[in-house]
Amino acid sequence: MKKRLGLVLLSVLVMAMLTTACSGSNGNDSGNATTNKNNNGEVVRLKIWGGTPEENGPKQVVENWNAQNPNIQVEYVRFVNDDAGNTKLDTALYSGKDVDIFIGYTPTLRNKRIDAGVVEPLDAYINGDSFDLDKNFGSDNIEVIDDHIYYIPAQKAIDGILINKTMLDEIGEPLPSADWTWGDLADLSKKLTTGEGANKRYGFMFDYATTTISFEQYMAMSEVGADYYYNADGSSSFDQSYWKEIYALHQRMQNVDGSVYPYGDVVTAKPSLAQEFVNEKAAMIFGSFHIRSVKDLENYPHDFVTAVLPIPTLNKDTKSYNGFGMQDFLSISKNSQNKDAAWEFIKWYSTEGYSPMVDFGRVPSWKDYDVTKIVEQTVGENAHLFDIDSMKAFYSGNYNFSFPKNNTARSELDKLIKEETEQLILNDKSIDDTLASLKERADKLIGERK
Amino acid sequence: MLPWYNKNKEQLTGYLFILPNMLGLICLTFIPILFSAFLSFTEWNFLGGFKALKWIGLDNYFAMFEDPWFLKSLRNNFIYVAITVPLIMLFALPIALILNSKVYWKNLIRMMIFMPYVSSAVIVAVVWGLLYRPSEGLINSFLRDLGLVNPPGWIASTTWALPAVIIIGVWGLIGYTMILYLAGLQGIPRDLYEAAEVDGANSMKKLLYITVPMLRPTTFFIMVTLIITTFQVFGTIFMLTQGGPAGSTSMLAYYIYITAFNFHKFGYSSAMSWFLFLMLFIVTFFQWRQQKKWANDF
Amino acid sequence: MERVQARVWRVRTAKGMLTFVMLLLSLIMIIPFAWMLSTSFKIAADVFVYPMEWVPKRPTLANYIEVWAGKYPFYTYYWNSIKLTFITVIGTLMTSSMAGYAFAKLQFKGKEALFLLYLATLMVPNQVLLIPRYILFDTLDLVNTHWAIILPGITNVVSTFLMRQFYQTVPNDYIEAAKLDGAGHFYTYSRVLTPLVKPAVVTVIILNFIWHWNEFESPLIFLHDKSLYTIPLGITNYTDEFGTHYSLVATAALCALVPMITIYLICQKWIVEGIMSSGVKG
Repeated sequence: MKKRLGLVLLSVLVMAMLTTACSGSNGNDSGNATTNKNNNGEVVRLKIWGGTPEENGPKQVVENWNAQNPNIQVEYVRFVNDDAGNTKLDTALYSGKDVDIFIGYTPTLRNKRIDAGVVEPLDAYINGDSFDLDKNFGSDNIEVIDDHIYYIPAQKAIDGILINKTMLDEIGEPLPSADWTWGDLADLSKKLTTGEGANKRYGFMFDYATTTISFEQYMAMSEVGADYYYNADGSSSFDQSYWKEIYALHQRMQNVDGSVYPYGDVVTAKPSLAQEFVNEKAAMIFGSFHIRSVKDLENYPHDFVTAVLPIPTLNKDTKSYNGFGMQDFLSISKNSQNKDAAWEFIKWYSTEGYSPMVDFGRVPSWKDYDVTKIVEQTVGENAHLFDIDSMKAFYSGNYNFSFPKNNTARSELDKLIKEETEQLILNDKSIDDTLASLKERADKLIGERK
Repeated sequence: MLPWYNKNKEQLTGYLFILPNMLGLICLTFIPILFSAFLSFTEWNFLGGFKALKWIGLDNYFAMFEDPWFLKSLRNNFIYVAITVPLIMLFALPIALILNSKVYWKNLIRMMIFMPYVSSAVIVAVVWGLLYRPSEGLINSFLRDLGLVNPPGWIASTTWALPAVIIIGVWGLIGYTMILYLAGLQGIPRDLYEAAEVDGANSMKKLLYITVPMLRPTTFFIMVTLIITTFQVFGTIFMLTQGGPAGSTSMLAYYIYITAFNFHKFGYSSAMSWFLFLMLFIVTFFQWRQQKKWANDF
Repeated sequence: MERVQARVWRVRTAKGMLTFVMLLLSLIMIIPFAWMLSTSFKIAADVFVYPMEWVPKRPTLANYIEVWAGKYPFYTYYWNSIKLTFITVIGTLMTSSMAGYAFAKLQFKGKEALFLLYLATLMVPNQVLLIPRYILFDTLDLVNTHWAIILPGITNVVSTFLMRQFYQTVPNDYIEAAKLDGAGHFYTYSRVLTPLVKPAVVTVIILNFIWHWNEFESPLIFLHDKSLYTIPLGITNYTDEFGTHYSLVATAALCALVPMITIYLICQKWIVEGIMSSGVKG
């Protein structure tokens, strides 16, 4: 008996030794994250978490800042903006270590973090500095949550469509105007579709495989804004007529005209949109951000001219929305030890500091950023391959963006709509049956979450 | 030495031998497991810390059986395991037997067959996606060349997606099973065969009366680990199908994952994990009893 | 004489045909490898070209240059992976063979129950343990250290199970004989029994090497500093919010295969040599 007791004690001792050994090796690294004194006073060290790969702008941003601010040295930690990556950020926020500033991309996740109380309200900093939100970003563009401001958006994400202008010219079609409709897109897509089998060229391509928001959702958002899932009374909106219009249009494009890159091929082989675009297998692709690939002639060689248009609307005469709009939500972790320094960085980054990010296709939300410069930086060296007029119009356009106010069971509804859409597109389930089943199941999911 | 002392000494040695392994397991695995068991009775947004924990009793466990996504994943998972495991066993043993003796370039072929197990899940998912592409994929082009007018849609079809995923599962685990069988075969003492040859046994007899019985411990290991692995199939689903189309390839581990990290329902996801655990434990327990019965008969 | 000749030929034809069948099978098995190889020499615009293009039309070495001398320190990830995997594999081998020996050959109270408990830990899906583990490691101050990967890795249940199964096949006569010679349990375990289960040792090495080399989720959640990242984490650099750069992923993954193949080949040679000397003597 005594021996066994000794054994237990021994094991506890070994465990204790192991843990101290481990934490010891880490001591130096995490020590740097807080504050270090040196002769010139205090050097503050900040850790900034963002989803953009380091080499696509953030590294340059960090270098610029560190050169100008010897007393506040920042370090960039990259997380992939998917479920696993966001979990990584959440765990770090939970433990309160290694995060001072974090950049969010999804409104629902941002709100979840605010609810959990890990985000510092910025009101005091904004007022203390008289940092003019309206002048810098437009006050409509920042959502006030529970009477507080929790984030500064650094990026203006305009949803757009890239069009192979050379192909348009070949079939003698003019570039549509910026207030075009999804119906126009479908018609144009049909005209641009040619060939058969392996040589087929599709008029339009949407990334069904990796985009978290489905084609239907984008169309619905353009019509009613970000709360497209919900009726005013909180029930699901699948009894509204716009869903019927949307599904009819998508079904026509996929299964009747065959003018969209086939759903099955996209979800199975997950072909890259930029690749199909430059290889002239798709005449229009969803996502203005693909400009970043299109301008890279080394990896994506081509010689046609690309134009860009904002995403269409469902009906010409109703108010239309471009999407969630402002993005790259800069927030300060509640547990940060250096909130003042973090605020200094946020102020700089969301205004003049953002420039290196623009080279990689991100549009600054800062109003003072010159549109001509945005276009220049976005197209880079190959301006002759872009329709500059359409780009200028695209980046300087006046858009309605929309905040998601209701997020009840939103992730579950995303899954549900994907599932039902697949029944419709792949199994020819009728639109009415699809909508009926969507309505019933969505109401149930919303009910469970209330 | 007195016999009782001897016996006690063996006990102590036993504990000492498992100590390093056990210690890590208790500290690093048991504690989290118990914690997740506790979580299964709660509703929790972990970001809010422990104050955000809400005790809801058995609600999560009841909710499961009214959740169509869970039930569908459960059903798919059963079909997947029931087909994948026997198919793997069926292929792997003959391959191991052949590669244990009768071919040229043994090492090269073994390495090649083991390749899928070595390759990263991302690559495997991408490659199978390309092969399964309904319109111009390699598989369907081949089937069309054979004269099949309407080849299956594979992952783009609600009927063919599950078979498609099963094919990947079998393909991916044959290598693993094969090297375990090879290890098992190499552990069989040569002189058993020599003795049998002296007695005039033919190859079939040697296989049935020496190889198969001597492989029983390996087979038990393979069965248990394969059932657990296939019940927890995740990589292919997560990276290739996301449970689609229309939920036809949704499996438990995948659904548990998105419930936790996409829907942010940690309590519910823990409850489903514990259901999966119970199921696996029962299956394994019966296999264990079976094996012990055999060990006693032997 | 002729009859012998004929028999030799028959055997050879049979062997040749079996080889042919096995080669056909292996061709299906190495498709991912072939794809990685071909994609690593492609530019981004050719990765998903249809019909599948096995020989790149516009070949390039740019991917290799980018991976090894480009923007991200791939060699750092490589080194971290090697370090972590080696420590973990050696650790696993020691703890699991000892535990396996005890479970197979020693008598102690609660052995069966304990072993079932061991197996039970395999049955809870890993994903659901990530958060509880994180909370635990956070209190132990292990987060953002390599220990958070090594320590759980060392106590691998599957390896213990595998070792136990193989020790079981060794007849008890060996232990009795060693005992008569006055050997203690540690000697019997390390010098007598373990050499007899070399195939199992080798299998444990190969399998654990692969598992830890490809491990993604734990390092992802537990490591923050870039200087600690392993290869699978490093490869996420090639994915951004607009998509994945598959020609770089394929190149990196291909380069990451080299140590695994090397270990496999070394181990396999070791078994083949080992088996000659380990027959049971009547």
